[in-house]
Amino acid sequence: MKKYFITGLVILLPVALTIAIIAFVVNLLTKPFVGAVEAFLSKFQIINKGFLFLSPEQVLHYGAQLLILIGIFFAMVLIGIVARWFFLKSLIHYSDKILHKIPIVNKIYKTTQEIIKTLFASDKNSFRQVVMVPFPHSSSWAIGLVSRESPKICEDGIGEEMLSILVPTTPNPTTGFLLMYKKSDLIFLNMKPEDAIKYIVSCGVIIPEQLEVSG
Amino acid sequence: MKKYFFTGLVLILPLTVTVILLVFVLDLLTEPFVGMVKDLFLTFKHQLGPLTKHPKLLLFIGRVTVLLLMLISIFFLGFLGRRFFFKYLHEKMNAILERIPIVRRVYRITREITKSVLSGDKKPFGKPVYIPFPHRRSVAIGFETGHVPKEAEMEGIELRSVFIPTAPHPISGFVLLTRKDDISPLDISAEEILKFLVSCGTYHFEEKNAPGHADSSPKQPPEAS
Repeated sequence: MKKYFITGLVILLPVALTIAIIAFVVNLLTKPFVGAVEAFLSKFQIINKGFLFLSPEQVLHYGAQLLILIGIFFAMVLIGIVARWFFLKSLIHYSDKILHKIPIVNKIYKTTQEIIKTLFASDKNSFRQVVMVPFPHSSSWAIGLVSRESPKICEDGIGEEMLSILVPTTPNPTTGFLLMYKKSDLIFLNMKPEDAIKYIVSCGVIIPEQLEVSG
Repeated sequence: MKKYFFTGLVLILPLTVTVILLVFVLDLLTEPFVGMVKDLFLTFKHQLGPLTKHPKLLLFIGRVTVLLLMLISIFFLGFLGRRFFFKYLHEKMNAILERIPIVRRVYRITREITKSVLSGDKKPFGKPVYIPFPHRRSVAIGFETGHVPKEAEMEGIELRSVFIPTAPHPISGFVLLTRKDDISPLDISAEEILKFLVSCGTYHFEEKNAPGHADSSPKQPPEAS
């Protein structure tokens, strides 16, 4: 009995978690617009019927969310296309300048803009290489991800080539420490970053080799 | 298609994040008072006319009103606080608050923290530095926040408090008591350090004038505010 329950749980839990995470992201993205789009959709009497086991309200809600997601995607593409035209480039440049002049807004805007620019523009090698670093002291090791080479000013202070390494916490890898190591102190691992994340999230229970064997 | 999508994303995302953060702060500051202001508006329904019809609009106007009132009252309090009579009143109020059992604790702690953070011309974070952390073979960027408490002082060793934030959100971290000789100062503004941490090290302070950042307006030197 217990065995069956656990087996069922093992099958169900990943699905439930996946749905929960996707629903969270979809809700986050569509929340600011969903009210307006729902009101708009309910004016037309097209989808005001139940569908299968869904009530009319639910159909309306999910339909609105779907429309918003599609809308967001195409809006992004459209802005991207438009931004590459010469005339609009200067327009964007001007709106940028205006935003840079509003007192409190400009600090936040400038910071996020620079971070996002570097995140998208940086070469694709960031966070692709898994390393083992001495952490928290020289006779124990931790898994880290290579960000890129360290800032010049720190390299000059140490007098050697350094790399910035993100050492994530367990089991929630969204925090961690950003540390700089000499290249010679690192042990480069032939491991995929996804496997490293799995290893960290599972608190070390899932070992990459096991995954390969069990498929 | 993919290229255009990412171009659009890079353009829109900073704006979205800015709006989200501003709305979050606005909501946080105005939450305790917005109900009262809304009720006040509703009692003057007839004079205000169409403004009170739409609940969302009413809420937004209420929030903006609360924020404006707050700014005005803070300036007013600051103005009064520098007058002699009001100083006396403030001290009396402090003395009363210091006597109420549970309130006393919260009030004293918040007062001391705000005082030490906001008073004087100290920078809110302290001096950007890098130190060996967590051990001798690696280096981390942090902020030197000042001297160590008297109880922690050791003979012959000069210690300083250094705050090492986590990445990518530098809202937690460790406060370390570090030897003064181990601390190497960084001549970079706290803002740039935060950018470095939030981007997990992909943003570099040296690249401010590199192509791609060339269009950003020239940086002012870090001000001590």
